[in-house]
Amino acid sequence: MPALQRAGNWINLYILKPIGQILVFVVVSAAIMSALALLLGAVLNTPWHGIDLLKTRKGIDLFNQVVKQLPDMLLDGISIGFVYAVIALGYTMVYGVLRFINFAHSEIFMVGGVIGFEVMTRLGEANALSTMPPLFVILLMILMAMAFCGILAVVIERIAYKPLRGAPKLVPLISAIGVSFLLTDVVRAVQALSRNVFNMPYPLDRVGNPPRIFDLISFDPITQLSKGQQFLNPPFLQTRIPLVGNLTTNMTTVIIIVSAIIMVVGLNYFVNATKLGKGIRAVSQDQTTAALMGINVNQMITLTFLIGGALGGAAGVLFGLKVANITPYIGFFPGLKAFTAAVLGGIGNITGALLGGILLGLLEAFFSALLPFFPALGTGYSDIFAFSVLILVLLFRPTGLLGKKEDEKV
Amino acid sequence: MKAAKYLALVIALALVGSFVTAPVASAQDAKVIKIASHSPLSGGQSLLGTAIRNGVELAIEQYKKPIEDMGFTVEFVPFDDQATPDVGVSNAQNIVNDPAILALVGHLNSGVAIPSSEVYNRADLAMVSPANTNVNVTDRGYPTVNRVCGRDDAQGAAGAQYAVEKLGSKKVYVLHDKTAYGEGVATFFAQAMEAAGVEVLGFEGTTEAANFDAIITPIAALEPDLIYFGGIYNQAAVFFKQARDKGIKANFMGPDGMDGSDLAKIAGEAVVGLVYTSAAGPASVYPAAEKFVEDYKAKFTINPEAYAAEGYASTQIVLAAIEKVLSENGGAMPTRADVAKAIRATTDFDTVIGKISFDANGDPKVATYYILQVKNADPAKWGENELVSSVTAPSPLTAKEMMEGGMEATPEATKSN
Amino acid sequence: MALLQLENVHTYYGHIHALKGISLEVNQGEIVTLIGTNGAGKSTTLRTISGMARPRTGSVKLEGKPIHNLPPHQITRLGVGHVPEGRRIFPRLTVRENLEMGGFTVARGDVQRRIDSTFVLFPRIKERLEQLGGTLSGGEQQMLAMARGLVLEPRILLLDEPSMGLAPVLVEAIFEIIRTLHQKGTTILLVEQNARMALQVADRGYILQSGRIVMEDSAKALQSSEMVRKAYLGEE
Repeated sequence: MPALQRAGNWINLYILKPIGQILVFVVVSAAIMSALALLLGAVLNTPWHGIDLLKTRKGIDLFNQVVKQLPDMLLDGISIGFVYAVIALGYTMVYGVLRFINFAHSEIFMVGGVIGFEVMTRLGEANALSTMPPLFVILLMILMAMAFCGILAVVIERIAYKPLRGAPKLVPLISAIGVSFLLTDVVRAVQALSRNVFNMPYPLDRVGNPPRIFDLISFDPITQLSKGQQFLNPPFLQTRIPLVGNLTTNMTTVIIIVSAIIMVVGLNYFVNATKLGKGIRAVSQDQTTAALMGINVNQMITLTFLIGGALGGAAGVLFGLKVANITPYIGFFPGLKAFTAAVLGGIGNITGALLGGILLGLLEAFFSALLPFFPALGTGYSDIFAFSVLILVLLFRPTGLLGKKEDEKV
Repeated sequence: MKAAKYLALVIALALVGSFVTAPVASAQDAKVIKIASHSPLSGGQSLLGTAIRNGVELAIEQYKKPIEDMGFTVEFVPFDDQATPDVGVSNAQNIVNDPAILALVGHLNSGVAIPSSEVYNRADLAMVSPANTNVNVTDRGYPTVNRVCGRDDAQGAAGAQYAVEKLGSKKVYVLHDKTAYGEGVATFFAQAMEAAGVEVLGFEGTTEAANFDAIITPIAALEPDLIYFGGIYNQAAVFFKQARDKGIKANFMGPDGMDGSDLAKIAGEAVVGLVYTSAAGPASVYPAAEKFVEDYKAKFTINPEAYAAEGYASTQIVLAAIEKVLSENGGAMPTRADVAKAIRATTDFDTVIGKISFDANGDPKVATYYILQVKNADPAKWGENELVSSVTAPSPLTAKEMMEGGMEATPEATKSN
Repeated sequence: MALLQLENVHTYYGHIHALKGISLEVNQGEIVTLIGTNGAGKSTTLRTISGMARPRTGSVKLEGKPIHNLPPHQITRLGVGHVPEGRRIFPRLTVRENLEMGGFTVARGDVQRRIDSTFVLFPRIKERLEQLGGTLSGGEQQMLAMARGLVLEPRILLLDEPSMGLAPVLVEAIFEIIRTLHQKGTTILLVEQNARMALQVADRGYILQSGRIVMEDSAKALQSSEMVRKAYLGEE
């Protein structure tokens, strides 16, 4: 039975263990955030403190409100957190290998969203969007974006970073910022000239009909979206997926989380179990020695950009599915937040990027959703609070949450 | 590697070259009169900004003849403010430095118009706004600043009146985009709603452009029957789309910033049924607009979006004023101050959007506020949005005069459903 | 023809003229040692051979073919194994992964067999396979570095200061292993500060002083040379 046992080991090591780790991160972060929110809800419910800033809106039972919103806040936080995590992987891998922050990564992410739009729109123009299996459409979008953005990242590395490899550290950084602006404007120009558009809305409502399987499970077709109009079939992406109890979520959220988990698990497998993945890790730890092993360092760097770019592209599509509209400027904030997530988790550390992404997503979701109940503050302050938490964490752990542990640095 | 470096160099040189060869104001030819348009021609709001630009261009083309007969060439110079105050102000500096520019039609965004018009006013350059509804645009009392559209205090009130009377709203949640325009009109709306006894569950500003999840969550929990978004369609559409997707069933409402077909393009079915107020009516309400729509389509091969007609009307006023100054001063190059004075003096002037008279602050003495409802998710059918109600109201100065004159000053609903 | 041949090699580090015309050769099956003080250019010579430093003039030939213009990873692929000074173990790869990196250029089917064969010489490594490289002791790291170099089954093995910083017992063990390798026919170019031990295992030796070869001879002859005894063996 050694073959069977080996297969078992393999599944355990490269599938179950990483998924288990992701689950632990999600559950623990969610539990801590929920506990804190409930605690704050209970403490600030009555204005005993006399601090104007912390006074809640009249007639609002904050604790009740937290309880009511908790499932939504968790789902919102986790789904955007996974998107941040997938983007953050691109930042962290490149940093691990080159000790260089690829600031153009946020725009590679944006281009991924644009590719998703292009694929969807072209399928729509060919009248294939509603007849093709929806999951196939999404898979196609993701794969096309991964291929395009992976190659784009490699080309950028060749043209804008590689010639500067020996230069002082700030120089490639400036180059990256320049590439970032360039990509934004190129996308803007191309879309303005070819389609005369700036907004690139995903035709989400036109994607397929729900597969039979969801007809069998009790799902709630949103028939009364607004008065006077009804879908024959609920759009596939709005299919409600039952979770625990009365709680449901929509197909988009499930697709985002599942795709992100597949990518993280896949990356984990690649980096830890394949020769090329180990080669990348070797290069990230010691370039000269890696070269002495016969490893082509430039090839590994190219590979790193390819993978990082592909992940960024995939994240762009997931983000597009989530927000329904892509513009050439959409990359900046998610990129900044994903970079923050990478730092929060410990830059250079793959597991850290995942943890950082989920944590930041949750922080953002909780703060934005609860600050409206404090009239003196408002939802506009959510970033300030989320980033204050980041600063606090970095004060106590300057290397990020997982930065010091002997985890795989890539 | 070498090749890459040379490529970068070539690109850099090309960029520099394009700046150097950009049109430079020619000051020596005194026989040229220039009219500028200033609106976002790039970015998320370029749909409406371009409509303004096109309106101005079309009007100049059609009405420049009398001025050209007096020995002047009329040139059109469009500027792109990118819907950004900084860009608007820096363009404004360039505009006032070109002495041939005698008047300007713009902007789309009040947040851009207010700081930019400070620059124009210092240089006596008259601005006629096709779209800026924020009260502070004219309430500063500048002799150079005018508008052909209505005001947000009246627009917010008109929206609130409709929400209470026709939609039966009891609980409303108000969002805005943190711009002078969006926050301004949202404030007036919320005040009017509160005055009518409606519970305002929340009043939040956000610059978020993509992921509204966390903003929607508390709204879903508070269960309002109406959500009002004081802002512009490109941001609002994404919000409305995501709110519907999250199962929110409230009615949606917004100010004239919703009036762009991209709203339907982005949000699709989610905004069918959305009600928006507008200080600019659909072309169908203006009898004179029929020919304008035809000419516009012929020249630009697209439908006129909101504010195209207002841009056209603003230019009609500007050109008529210049013509008047020229005929009074015997054909000498008019001064900006004279042009500004002539524009302010506009009384009962026939434009494509009806008769316009300016009050002492540059507001139209009487403005009509339209309430429209989105009927179709297809952006190509944006023009078929239904006019469900309209309200005509005098400007504050006019109202005051009427009060002093002992006349009835309450806004009067002229048409309903 | 010599397996490895350096002819009049000049190597610079920036403005520092580190090698001033080195010519040497290593024949198939030989152990050749380079002896010299710190800064004499021993490590630079090895780095020049493996491509980490580029000679400004002169040539490095492997079996008569010039290799000095190739990037390091291609030189490795030709069979030049370099165990660098300070061991340079990948600290966050496991011992097994470190060994696998040594066989990076080797066909997949062969790697495991070759790794297993190094355990004969380095039994301690086998017990540590799943440990991270950074957690090994200095002696174990040296063993791992050599084992990693041997997975390549190099045609010539460049050993840079294998005994540095190790306890005397371990130094003995390392040299014992070098001797075994020699018996198996491995060609070795050995750089050592411990000249006595080096000359005991080597067939021939070169004495380096400030970037130049000042003496070359059989190991036996060098051991008995007056100059070598005084300067490098610490004898009066």
